[in-house]
Amino acid sequence: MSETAEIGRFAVGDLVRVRTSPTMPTINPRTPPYALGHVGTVIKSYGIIVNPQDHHLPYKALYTLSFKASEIWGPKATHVVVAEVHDEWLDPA
Amino acid sequence: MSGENKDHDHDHDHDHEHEHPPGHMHLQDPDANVAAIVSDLEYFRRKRLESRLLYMLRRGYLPFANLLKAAQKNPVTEQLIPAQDLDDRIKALQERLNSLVTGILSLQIPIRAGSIAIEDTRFERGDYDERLRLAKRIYPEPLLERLAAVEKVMLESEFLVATIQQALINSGEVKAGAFDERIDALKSIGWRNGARIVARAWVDPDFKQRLITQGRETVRELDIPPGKLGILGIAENTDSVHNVVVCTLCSCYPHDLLGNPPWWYRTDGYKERVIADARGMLDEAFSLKIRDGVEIRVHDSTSDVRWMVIPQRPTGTENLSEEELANLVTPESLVGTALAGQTPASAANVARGLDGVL
Repeated sequence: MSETAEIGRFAVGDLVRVRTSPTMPTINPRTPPYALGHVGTVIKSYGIIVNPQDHHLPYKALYTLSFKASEIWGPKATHVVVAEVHDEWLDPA
Repeated sequence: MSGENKDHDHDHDHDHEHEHPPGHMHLQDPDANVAAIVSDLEYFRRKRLESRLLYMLRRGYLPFANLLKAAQKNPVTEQLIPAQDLDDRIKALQERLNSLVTGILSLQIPIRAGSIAIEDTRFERGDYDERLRLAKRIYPEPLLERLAAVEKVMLESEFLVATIQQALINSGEVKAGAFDERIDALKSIGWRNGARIVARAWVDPDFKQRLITQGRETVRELDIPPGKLGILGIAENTDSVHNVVVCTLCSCYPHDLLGNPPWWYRTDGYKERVIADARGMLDEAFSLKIRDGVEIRVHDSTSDVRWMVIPQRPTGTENLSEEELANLVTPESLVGTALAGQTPASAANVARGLDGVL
């Protein structure tokens, strides 16, 4: 696993909205369904990662996003959900 | 997910329970123990064994006829006579399941030169498309009938593993002996690697910092092979943050470093409840109450980033050696459903707490 210098459109601290479909055709279907349409905060940016065990081709840049669970599941959910999402699934919020 | 780690997976998560001498452990709740066996058997049968076989057949790595020929000579055809005693019968199934899982994981040996990405097998087994998903078996409710049905599926799966291994050897895809070597290698990877990593992080803050910033290569300092499945995410528990790990899409875990996660990690009940109601589920299924002032962070692993938790060092352990500290770490504490130094919730408790949604 190595990371390249190539970074994506967003920086740590940015608010992003997860798209319900990616901005471009992709073979990467891996965005968790509960996050679709919701706003998260970028807490880590990896750039484009090389993961040959998993992918045939490099995907777009990868980020760790943090979501308030209460915004997805209602006020009883007091925790935070942390998930990794690729650039083509994101819009600026 | 994922599970499809071709290179490293490991013997089963129940192994820490088996450290007790046989006969020492009395099963408190046979139904819950059988539920745990059914859950794992179905997971590995559908997600790893039969989907892998379909994958190899579709791509021509293994012609159908070779499979049938190997099946004719397969020695695994007779059911063992089950023990009379219920506990013994369940324990025998747990042991067979451990061997079966290692056998299934040995099939993930690389075959031929073609590149098989984890993504391919996940499509194949229907992670993203319900039409491709292999049907779940229905097991009858009454315990004795249920056990008989589990024993039957266990035997069928053992038969299938041995047949596929023989067929791959006969086809020249894999050298004779390669599966045995693979199984030996798998047995050396386990959650105790995680315990050693945590203990070192507790005693050496610089190591911990390197682990967080530089990731899995850091474990070479402990002579642990770092593996290569994606990025290793490190989530450190503190006085104000408690971390929990899940993989909602499949069952991604740093298998190549830590072996298999506890059995319930792969269940739908755990995935669905922890992501939507972490605090309630930790309390009900794992008897773990997290104070209101402590933030719970649920890390949803993918094959790109696989998370492990560094639990908090228990108080009063200042005089313990690094080795003694490692003994306080459990597989459960590495995913955040127990604290270090605390006895994890029993399988029966977890099965009940997840409402039987396994």
